[in-house]
Amino acid sequence: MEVLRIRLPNADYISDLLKAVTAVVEEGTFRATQEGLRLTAMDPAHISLVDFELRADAAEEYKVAKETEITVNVEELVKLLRRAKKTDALVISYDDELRRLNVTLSDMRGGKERLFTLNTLEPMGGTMNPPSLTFEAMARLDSDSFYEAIEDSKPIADAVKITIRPDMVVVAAKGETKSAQHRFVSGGPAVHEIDAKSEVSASFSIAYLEKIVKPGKSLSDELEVRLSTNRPIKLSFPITYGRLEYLVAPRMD
Amino acid sequence: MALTPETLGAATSASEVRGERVVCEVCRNVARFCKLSRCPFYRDLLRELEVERQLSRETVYGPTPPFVLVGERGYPNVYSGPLVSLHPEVSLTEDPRAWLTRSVEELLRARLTLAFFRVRVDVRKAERPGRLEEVREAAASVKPVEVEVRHSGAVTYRPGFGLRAMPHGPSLRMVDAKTVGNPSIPKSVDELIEERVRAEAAVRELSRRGFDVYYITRLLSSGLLGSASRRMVPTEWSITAVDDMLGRDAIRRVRRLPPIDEFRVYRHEALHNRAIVLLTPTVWMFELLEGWLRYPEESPYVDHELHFGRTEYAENTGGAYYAVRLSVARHLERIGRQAGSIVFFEVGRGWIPLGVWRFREITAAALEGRYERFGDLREALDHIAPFLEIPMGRYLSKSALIRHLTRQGSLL
Repeated sequence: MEVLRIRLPNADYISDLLKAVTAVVEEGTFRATQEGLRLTAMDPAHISLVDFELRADAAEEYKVAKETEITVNVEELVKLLRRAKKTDALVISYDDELRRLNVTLSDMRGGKERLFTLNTLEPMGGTMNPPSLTFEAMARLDSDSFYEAIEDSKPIADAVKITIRPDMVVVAAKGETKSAQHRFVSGGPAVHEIDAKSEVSASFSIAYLEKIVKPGKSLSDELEVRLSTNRPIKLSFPITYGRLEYLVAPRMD
Repeated sequence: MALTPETLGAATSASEVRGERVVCEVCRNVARFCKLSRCPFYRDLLRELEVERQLSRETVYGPTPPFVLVGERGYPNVYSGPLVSLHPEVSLTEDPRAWLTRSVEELLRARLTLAFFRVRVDVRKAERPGRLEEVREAAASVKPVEVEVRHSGAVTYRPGFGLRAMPHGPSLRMVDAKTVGNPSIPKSVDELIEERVRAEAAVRELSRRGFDVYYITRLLSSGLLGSASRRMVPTEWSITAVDDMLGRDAIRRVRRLPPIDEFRVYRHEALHNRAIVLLTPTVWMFELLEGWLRYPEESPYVDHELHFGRTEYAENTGGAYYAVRLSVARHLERIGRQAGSIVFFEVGRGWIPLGVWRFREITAAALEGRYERFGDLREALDHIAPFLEIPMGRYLSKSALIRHLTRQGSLL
C-alpha cells in the first residue's frame, strides 16, 4: 500500500538537498511522519553527522498514511532525480509492501510521464536522534566566504583551527612551511552576527568541512557556526522548509 | 569520479618525473635519453641475439606475446603497433607475479628484445585502424599470436622507457602486419566487445570473470571496449584507468565489510623495491608513502584518501597510487574485511623504471604472506621502523593518515 506521497513543483531543490546529505552518508534511513521527512545519520567513521528535515509544507501535496522508515541509497536517488528536466514536476511515493520508492517525473507541457523505481535497503543501524550538545559561541557567516576560507587552507594543511571571538571569526591553517589566516570581522559584510563571551576555538579536518560546506553553500547564503573549545562543531544551513545541520568531531592539534 | 584519458594524460605525478630522472644502472645514462646502440649491455645482447641480422630482413616474423603498444606523444595522433619478440627464448611468461623472482637484468633483457613496429594512428579511428586491423584483434588473444611484419626505414635504438609501462627495444616503421594463425579470444570477451558494453562496465565484468588487469588494460588500450565512439587509449593511461576503475569498484564493496580487529603489518621485497603494508582496524582509508633511496635527503611522495575516496588525481605518486590501492582493496575483499591502509614503498638504488606493475605485484605478494599483529598504532610503527631505510620520522611528517588516526576525534 502507498504509505507516502510527496509532490513537488520540480526536482531541483530536493535533489540539491539530498546531495548535501550524501556529504555524510551514502545510504540512510528517512523517517516519514505527518510533520515531514527526516534523516539523522553518522558517517561510518563516526566523524560527521547530518540532520536533515524536509517539512510537509515544502510540498504541494504531502500525505503520510502511516509513519514509516525508508532506507535508501541516497546517492542512487540523487542520480535518478538528476534525470529531471526544469519543466518536470516530481512525485515521490513509497509502497511498504513492495518496499519500493517510486519517482515520477511529469512534463506538464509535453504530457509525458517518466517513472523510475528504487528498491529500498535493509536498515543498517536504524534511526537515531541527534545528540544534544551545548555550545559556547555562535556566529552567522556568509557561506561563500567561509567556503573560500576552507578552500584557501587546503594547500596549506589538512586541518583548520576555527576561532570565534567577540569581535571576529578566524579560520587558520598551519603547515610545515606555510600558513594562512582568514579573519571575518564583526560588522563586516561576511559576518551577520557573533554571539561569544570569550574566545572559543577548535580544529577540524578540512576534507570533512569541505565535503559539507560545498553543497551547503549552494542551498543557503548563510551559515550558522556553533563552537565549543575542542568539542564538535555544528554547521547549520538555514533553509526555508526544513533543516540542514551537521556536526563534525574535532581534531586534537 | 572516473579518471578520463585526458586527465591522466595531463597528469604526470611528481614521483613519475623522478622515475624519469633515474640513472640507469646499466648504461649510466639518463634512462629516457640513453642510446641503446651505445649501451654495453645492450650491444652484447644485440650481438648474442643477432637482432641486427633479424631486422635487416624486410619482413620480421615472431610472436607478439601479445602486446600492442599505444603511444601518447602527439595525442590524438599517436604511434601504435605490435611489440614483436625477436628472441622468444628470453621472453617473459604471461604471469607478472613470476617476474618478481627475476633480476632487473633479466627483465630488461626480455623487454629490450621486443621490437616496436609503429604506425601513426588517430586514436579516434579505433574501429577503422587500417594497417593495424589484424594486430588489434590479436590484442584480445589470451595466447601469443605469430605475426608477420613488413617494415621500412632505419632502426631506432632508443629504448621505450615509460612512466608506467614496461620498456621496449628497437623501433621501426611498420609497413603492414599480418597475423599467422588465429588469435585465441574467449567467447565471453568476444561478447563484451560485440555487445558494445560501456567501457567501465566491461572492465568490471572482465575482472569478475577472472581476467587479469594486464589483459584488461590491453583490451581497453587497443580500443576494443566501449559503447559508442571507441578510442584507442595510450598504454600508459589505460594502465592507470583500469587500476582506478577496478579499485573503486572493489572499495565500494569493501566499505560494507566489518573492520579487522587489530593492526597488521605485511612485508615483501623484490627487484630493489620494498613494500610494507600497515592495515588498521578502522573504516577504509588509504595512503601511499613512496620513498626513493637514491634521493634519501628528499621527502617521500605522499597521496591519501579518507573513507569517502578521492576525486582529484593522485598528483604526487601517480600511477603507483592506483596500482597499490587496487592490490590492497582486492586483498580486503578476498578476506571479507574492511581496514584502513598505509603503504610504505621504498624504491631501491638499483631500480630502473620497468613499469608500474611492480607496485601492484609487490603489494599483492606482501598481502599474501604472513603478517604480524599489534594492539595499537604506536607499536605497529615501532615494528615497521627498522625495516625502512629512510628514517620513519620522514614518513611520519608527511603522512596525513597517521595524523588523522592519532588526532581525529569521534562523535561517539
